[in-house]
Amino acid sequence: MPETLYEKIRKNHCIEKLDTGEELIYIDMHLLHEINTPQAFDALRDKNRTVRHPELTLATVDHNTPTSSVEDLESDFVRREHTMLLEKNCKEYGIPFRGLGKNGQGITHVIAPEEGLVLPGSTLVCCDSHTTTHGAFATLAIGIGTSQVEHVLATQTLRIPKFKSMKIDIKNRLRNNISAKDLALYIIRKIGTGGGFGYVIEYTGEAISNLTMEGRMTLCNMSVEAGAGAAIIGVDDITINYLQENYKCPEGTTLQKEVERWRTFVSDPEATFDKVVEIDADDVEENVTWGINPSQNITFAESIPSVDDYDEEYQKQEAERAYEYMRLQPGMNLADIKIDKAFIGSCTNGRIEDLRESAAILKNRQVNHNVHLLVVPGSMRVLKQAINEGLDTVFKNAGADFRYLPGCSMCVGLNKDSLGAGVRSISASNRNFEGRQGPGAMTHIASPRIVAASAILGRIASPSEIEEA
Amino acid sequence: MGRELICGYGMPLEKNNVDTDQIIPARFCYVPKRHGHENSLFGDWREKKDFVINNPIYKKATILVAGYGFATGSSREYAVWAIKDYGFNVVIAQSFGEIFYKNAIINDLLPVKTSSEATHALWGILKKCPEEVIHIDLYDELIKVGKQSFPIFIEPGVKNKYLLNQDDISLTMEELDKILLYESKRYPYLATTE
Repeated sequence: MPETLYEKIRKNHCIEKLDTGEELIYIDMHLLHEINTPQAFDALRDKNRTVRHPELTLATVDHNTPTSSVEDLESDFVRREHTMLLEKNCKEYGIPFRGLGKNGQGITHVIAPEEGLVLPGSTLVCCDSHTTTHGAFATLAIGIGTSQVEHVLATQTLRIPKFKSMKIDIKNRLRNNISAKDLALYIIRKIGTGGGFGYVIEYTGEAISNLTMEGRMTLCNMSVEAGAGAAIIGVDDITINYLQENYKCPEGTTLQKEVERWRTFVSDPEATFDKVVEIDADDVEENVTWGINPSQNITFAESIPSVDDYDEEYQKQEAERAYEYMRLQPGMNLADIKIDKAFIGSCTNGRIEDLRESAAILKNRQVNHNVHLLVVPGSMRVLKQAINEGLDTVFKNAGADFRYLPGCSMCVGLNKDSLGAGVRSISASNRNFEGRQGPGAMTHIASPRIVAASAILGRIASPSEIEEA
Repeated sequence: MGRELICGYGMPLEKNNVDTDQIIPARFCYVPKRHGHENSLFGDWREKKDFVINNPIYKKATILVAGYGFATGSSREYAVWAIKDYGFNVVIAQSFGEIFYKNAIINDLLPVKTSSEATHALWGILKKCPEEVIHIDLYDELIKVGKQSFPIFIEPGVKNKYLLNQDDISLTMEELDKILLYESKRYPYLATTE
């Protein structure tokens, strides 16, 4: 019987079908960060349990750490306590730990793929909702809570209910200068914030075949904003090429053998899905969010919708909440919205390709004097590559605030980069929820290119406005 | 089977898409413990005097009645801990964020899925009569209020799990032989972090 990619991985990893309707699934890779893990280690100690496979586990600090200097963490007692707790816990249980500013440190979802730890056909979990990112590698990757972290640490397994399968097939190629972020926002608007509840979404079609791994990671990353349990993309040459650059082939096998094995992790041609959504890449334009969830986004040709433009009662109510919180009115255009802050970074858009694309726009141009543009690499490796390519100089010459430590930074109001009340930002991150970047802060989500163009013009702007000028 | 019947007063949270950043904003997630988060629940929203949690008529509520898409977003289990610490033991909603739903069951906070009509009707009832008792009947899979009743949509496995209230890890530990067998056959050339 033909199988979907998700079914193949699920069956490969199923230890037992449980009478709760769940399956006991083996976990190949487990990523940890400082915020959602201390209680899991405490519980292990309380119950005298141990970590079953520290060598299948990797810990880093990203959420609450400063991006300015290591000294800033030393002098911050509350945040330092979290990072020190993780370091201490890792030491006790023999788990590799990446301290701030050390080689290999960065955002969990940026460091694991670049180190070749995310392999086709495997399972991966992390105490973070954006774990869906890793599906770009034909990996079943699921975000989990702290109690489940404890479960995985103790048993290297997880009890996972069966998901339904959804295929989102995108015909034609994305047009020039339309990014994976634009596609992600388009899809979230189309299927809604709850469209993916209960599903693993597999992305297929010409648009996907032509996306880089960075683009695929951005798309899978944002799938959780459509409510998906996981997102996944089958293996092709682009996957293989990326892996070959980063994968360390262990003794006992050959790269050729591994590549052959990886290539099997695609859905069978005749596999059936519980739901199929068809999208034409020609319809996808640049999108920016205007509201308080990622589905509330519009193109530069549209204006902010009125309540009557929505069908569902909950959408109407959400629109009302958004006008008030975002201090915007129906009928306004994106270009009417002035910004104070701009951010390029995060697990969504903090990879080298994102920095290259935004640097290309900022080169020989200046950030508007009313705007503070913060650029934060997603990992130490991205940072080093950016320096090697001279991108840090490009950003700084443009008047941007380029940071030399990786982390989640301004994406989440947990660290020193968070925003004050009434501050409006355009951000290449993932969530425009109320208060996400700081209490009372207003967030517009967009691609790195749009963020760069907006930083230059001091208002939300399409790169075409300056590239044509 | 006492766990099949739960009753209590309700609190109407008349909002949809209440993400976990609203339930407990990130900056309140600084106490690295499972308890002590009651004052962080809706940390930003409760600063507004007219927010429902500040209304004394709902002080005794143990059942939170939300709308569509409750607790989407961040995986933070703090969201469940804050709701429990505040004194709720049931959340009713039209739909839930995936990770929260799982976190809730593990922590013995019952997430009850129902229809859009039901959440709206319950909001209406609770606004008029805050003293109305809500009965959650897992046996009949119905929410009962006065003479009205509304459907409960619950997966059999989830219901069973809630009723038995067992520790997942202890149960999985009983499968250790099967885990060992799987590991002995596991493909040997997968990635390691060492």
